[in-house]
Amino acid sequence: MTESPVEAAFRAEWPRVVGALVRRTGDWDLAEDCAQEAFAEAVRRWPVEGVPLRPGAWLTTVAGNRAIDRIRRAARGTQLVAQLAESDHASLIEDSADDISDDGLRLIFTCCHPALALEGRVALTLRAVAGLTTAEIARALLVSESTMAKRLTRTKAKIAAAGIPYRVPPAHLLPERTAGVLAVLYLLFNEGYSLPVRSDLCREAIRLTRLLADLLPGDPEVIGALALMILHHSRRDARISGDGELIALDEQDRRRWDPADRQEGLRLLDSVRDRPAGRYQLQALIAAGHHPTGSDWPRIAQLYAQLEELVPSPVVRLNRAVAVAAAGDIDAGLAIVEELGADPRLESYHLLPATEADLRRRRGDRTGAAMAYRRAIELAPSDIERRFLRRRLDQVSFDDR
Amino acid sequence: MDYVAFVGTEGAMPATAVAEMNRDFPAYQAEMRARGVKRFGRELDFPPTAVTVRVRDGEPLISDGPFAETKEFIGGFDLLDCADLDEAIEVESKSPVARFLPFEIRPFRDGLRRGSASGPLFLLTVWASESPVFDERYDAWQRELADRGAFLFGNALGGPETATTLRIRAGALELADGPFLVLDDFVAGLDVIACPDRDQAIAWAVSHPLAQQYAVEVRPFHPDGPA
Repeated sequence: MTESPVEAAFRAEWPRVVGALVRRTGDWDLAEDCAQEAFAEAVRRWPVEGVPLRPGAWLTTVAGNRAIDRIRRAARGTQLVAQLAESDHASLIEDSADDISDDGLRLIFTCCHPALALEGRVALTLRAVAGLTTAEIARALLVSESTMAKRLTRTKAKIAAAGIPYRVPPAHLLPERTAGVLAVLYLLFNEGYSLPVRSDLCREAIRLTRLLADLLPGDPEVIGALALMILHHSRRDARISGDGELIALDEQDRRRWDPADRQEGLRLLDSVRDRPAGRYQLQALIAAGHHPTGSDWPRIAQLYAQLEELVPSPVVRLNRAVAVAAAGDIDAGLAIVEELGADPRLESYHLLPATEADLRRRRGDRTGAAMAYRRAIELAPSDIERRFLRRRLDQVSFDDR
Repeated sequence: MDYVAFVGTEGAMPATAVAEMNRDFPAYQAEMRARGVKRFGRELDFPPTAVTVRVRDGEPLISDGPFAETKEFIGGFDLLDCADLDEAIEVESKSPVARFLPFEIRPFRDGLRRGSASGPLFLLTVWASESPVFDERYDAWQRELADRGAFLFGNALGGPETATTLRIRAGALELADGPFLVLDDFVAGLDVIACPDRDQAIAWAVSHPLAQQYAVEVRPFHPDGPA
């Protein structure tokens, strides 16, 4: 399927067109509406007049003119009109390349500002940066359209009322704020990656992370996050069964992993291998450690240990236990799991007893395994997971004929 | 932009924390005053010293104690004049107080109005369950205060939907959307006034036009607090 020039321009230029208008008017609704109208005009005119030499500049100019019209019609902000009209002649078309690429960045950083509620950051990023409509975002995030409309309004209102600056953060804030943007994009990816799987959302998250990687070239964590998403995404066809159930990594038909995606993920990781490994880079290296021909568990266990130093989380530790056991030392893995049993943060986390059950099963401790599976079933958050655990429980309970 | 940063507290602090704050506060205060970003910062007296005033059908209803009896309460506040929210966050995250207590940063809805006054200070806060209209009657009330030399500063605040809560945990800055105290009612506006005594401060609260529909809490500042 080939994209039309307008579709291609929409994907590439939407955040910059919206960003330029927000920068000039400070009005997010106006910016979105006028960007929408500019793309609608492109749909009408480009097939007839041909695609302009610089589609982005064309779109920004048309959207800017629409904004001036609207502001005039609303008969307010005369100073703003003068300002816009002036910039229209002087700089709308002649914005420097830096200005234009910064418009995209400014937009992303503002949408992902840490003073906004996380769900608002996700929603506004999808609207203003990815260009999804309110209805599309509501469908993708499984909430009603009116809830999503309110969430977007509230988020934009806070930006204006609380004085959240519209800018790329200064150097001393950049690493922290970039981490915040990546957290939003990775959350978006995971939302699409978990059940019910919404691959569109995964693709959107990858596209936005790619955009961020273009805007912040060479940032090892951005590249790490991009590699992580692409490597996970490469397994999309192998991880869902015909009847829509999740297939665990060790049961996937790895021949169905997308080789082109995998290659790209590995290439990205290779490009930052000399840079200090952050959390996303480490997670991506772990994902890469699962080869189509088998998993390099000793290497994965070592990467989890590194990750645990960086992100001291009990969930990371649990994953390390799994890797240590899979690398051959089941007792060591089980010891870590037993230690974690005392951690109140994992009290109702079903994957803790599920992992314990799995390791006991592999050691041949069927009674212990069955008990742990029962605890896991009680805690499991969804029917799909309960069904999966019951299958495993049945295996340890009835296999000893 | 003008912001208020409320400090959330549950009461007296451990002596070691107080000592650390007292040790580091003067340098912080001097730095922020020199930058011109911090205009005022004072600790309030504890909530039992507060009085809550309502006027219904022209009758003043005065009750002892704060508007909201909560475990966590506003222990003091800073008045900030910053370029944007990022600067306000930066200023408060450097405060020695932030190492121990959360700050709720809120913008003044229509900027801050200032006067000049001297004498014992009182904080008047409007508590409402919606963002009230601060109309010309409020303007007139502030003008009267100013004419009597009793108005220091004040105005309407953005609602809880404009609030950002700041905490320092294990040395790391944490931000959250929304206020630190989530109640049905919130501080919708504040004024700091100077009066010889509490009764006169209560009288000003009775004449506050928003006391007719909402509640106005009067609280003295901590007698030993830094100016």
